[in-house]
Amino acid sequence: MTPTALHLDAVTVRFAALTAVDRVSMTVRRGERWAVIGPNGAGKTTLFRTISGEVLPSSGRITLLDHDVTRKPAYRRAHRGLGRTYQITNLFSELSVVENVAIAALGRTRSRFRSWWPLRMERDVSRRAREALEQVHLAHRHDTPVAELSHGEQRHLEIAVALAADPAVLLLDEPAAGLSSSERMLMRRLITELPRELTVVLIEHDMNLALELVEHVVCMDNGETIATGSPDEIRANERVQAVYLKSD
Amino acid sequence: MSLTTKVKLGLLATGIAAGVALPYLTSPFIIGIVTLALVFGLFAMSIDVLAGFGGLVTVGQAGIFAVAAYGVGYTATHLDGGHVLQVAVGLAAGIAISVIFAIMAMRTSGVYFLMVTLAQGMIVWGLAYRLAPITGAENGLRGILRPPAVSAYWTYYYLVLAIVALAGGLLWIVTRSPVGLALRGLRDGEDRLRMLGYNTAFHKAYVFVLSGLFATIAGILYVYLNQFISPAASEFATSGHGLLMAILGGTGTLVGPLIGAFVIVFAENMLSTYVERWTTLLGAVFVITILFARGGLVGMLSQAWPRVLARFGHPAASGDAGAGSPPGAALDGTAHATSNPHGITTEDDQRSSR
Ligand SMILES: Nc1ncnc2c1ncn2[C@@H]1O[C@H](COP(=O)(O)OP(=O)(O)OP(=O)(O)O)[C@@H](O)[C@H]1O
Ligand SMILES: [Mg+2]
Repeated sequence: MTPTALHLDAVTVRFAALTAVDRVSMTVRRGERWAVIGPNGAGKTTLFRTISGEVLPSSGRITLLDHDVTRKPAYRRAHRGLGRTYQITNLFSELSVVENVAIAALGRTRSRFRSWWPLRMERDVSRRAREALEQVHLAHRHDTPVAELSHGEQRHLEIAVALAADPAVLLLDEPAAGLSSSERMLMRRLITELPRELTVVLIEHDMNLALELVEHVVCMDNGETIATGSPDEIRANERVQAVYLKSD
Repeated sequence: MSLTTKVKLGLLATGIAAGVALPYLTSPFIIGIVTLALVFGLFAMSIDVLAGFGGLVTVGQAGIFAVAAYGVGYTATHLDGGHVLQVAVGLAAGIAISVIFAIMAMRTSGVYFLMVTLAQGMIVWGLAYRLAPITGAENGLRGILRPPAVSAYWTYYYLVLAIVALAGGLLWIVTRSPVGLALRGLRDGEDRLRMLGYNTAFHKAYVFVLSGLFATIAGILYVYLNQFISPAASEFATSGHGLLMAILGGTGTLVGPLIGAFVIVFAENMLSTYVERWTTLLGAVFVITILFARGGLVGMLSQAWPRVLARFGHPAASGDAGAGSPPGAALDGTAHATSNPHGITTEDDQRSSR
C-alpha cells in the first residue's frame, strides 16, 4: 500500500467558545489529490493552519510522512516537506519575483545560515528558483517587483514560492481566489500540471472546480466533516447539496 | 559592466583616494572630526542592518557600543592589560551583551522590538552610573591610551579608515548573502518565512549578534579615539543619533548611514558653537527627511541620477536606476522594490552576458 503522506486523527481546534475544527480525521496517501470543500466559515483555513503549525490543535494528532508533528513548530514541518499557500496572497512584497522564490528555495537548505557568502554563488538555489518560476509560467517576470504583478500573476507566484521549497505535501488554500474565469482556467491547468508524485490537498469554495481536480473530497461544515468520498459520491451526497444550497 | 556600476566603482575609488590623501590636505582638527564620523558611520551601518534591511528598528545599540568601550577601558585602567587583552575584552564584552540582548529581543517585532531595545539601552546606561567600581560612574574612565603605533592622530585615522572600509565591505557581503535575503524577508513576511523552514527567532537573534559585532568594533574604535569613556556614550541620544544618521543618509543602503554620519558629525562640530538650538535643528532635519525624503540622501541622489543621464542623452538612463534604494526606502516599506541586491541570475542571463 502507498505510504501515508498526511494523517489527521480527530483534530479539534477551539477558539474560546467556537469550535472551528471539530474532530476532523483524514488519511492522505502519497501522490493523492484531495480537496477540502465547504461554505464560508466552515473551518477549512483553520484546518490548514493547524496542519502547518500556525495553530496548535486543542486535541487530536497530526502525522506528516510518518512523523508525529502535532506539537512541532511550523518550520520543522516545512523541513519534513510540508508546503502551503495562502488564501490571501502572502508574498514578500518588498522583494522581486526571483527573490521570493529564492528565499523559499533556501529555507530547507543549510545555506540559509550563510552570511559571509553572496547568494548569487548558490547555484542550486538559483536553479530551483528558476524551475519554480517556469512551473508557474512566470520566468519572464524574474526581476519584477512583486508590487508590479497583476493579481493573477501574484496567485501564480504564491504557488511558485511553495514549490521552490520542494515540498512533498502541498496545501493550496483557494488558489483561484479572486481570479477571473479565464484566469481560473489557467490556474486549473497549472494545478493539473503539478508533478504526479506531489501530494496535494486543496481548499476550494467552488465545488465544480474542486471536483475536477481531485480524486478524494472532504466536505466540511461548522468545523465538522459532513462527507468524505470520490467527487461523484460528493456530488450525489444529500448533506453536501443541502449545505451548498443553504449557502448560495 | 553597466554605467551605474562604473559610477559606483568610480565613487568608491574616489572615496578611498580622498580618504588616503586627507591627512596631507587638511588640519588635525578636521581629521579628528572625520575619524569620529567614520566611527559613527560604522555604528550607524550596524543599526541599518537591523532597521533598514530587516525593519527591526533598534534604539538601544549604544548599549552594545558602550559595553565594548567599557570593556577596553576597564582592562586598560584597572587590570593593566596590554592592548591585545584590552581589545579582546572589549570584543568579548560587546559580543556577550549582544547575545544576551538578542535572546531578549528575538521573539518580538515591530514596536515591541523597539521597546525591548529601548529598555536594553536604558539598562546599560543605568549600570554605567551604578557600577562605579567598574565604570567610574559619571567621572568615567580616563587615560585609555592607544597602542604606540597609532598614537598619532593621523596614524589612528588611517587605522580607523582601514577598519571601517573592511567592516563596510563585510556588511555589504552580509546584506547580499542568504542571511541578508532572509533578513529582508523578515520585514514583511515573518509567518511565511516560518512556513518555508526558517526558525525566524534564531535568524533574528543571529542578525542581531552580527549587527552587535559591528557596533562593538565601533565602540572599541570610539574609546581609543577619545581615550576616555563615560556614561554619555550609552545614552539614548547616542542610539538615536545612529538611527538618525541612517535615516538621513538612506536606510537599507549601508553607504547612506556613512554619509548621514558625516553630515551629522560635521554639522554638530562645526555648527553647534554657532547655532544655539542644535538639537532643535537636528529634530527638524529628522522630521523633514521622514516627511519629504524617505529614501534619505542616497535615495534622492539615485532618483536624480537617471535624470542626469537623460540630460546627457545616455540610453542606459532608464534601464538601470538601482543605484541605491528607491525613494520610500525608509522604515515604512517599499525599499528595494526595483533593485536586485542579491543579483540572482538565471543561467540564461549568464549565457547572454558572456
Ligand atoms: N484566530 C481566530 N480566532 C477566533 N476565531 C477564528 C480564528 N480564525 C478563524 N476563526 C473562526 O473560525 C471559523 C472558521 O474560519 P475559517 O477561516 O477556517 O473558515 P474557512 O472555511 O476557511 O472559510 P472561507 O471559505 O471564508 O475561507 C470562522 O467562524 C472564523 O471566524
Ligand atoms: Mg478560508
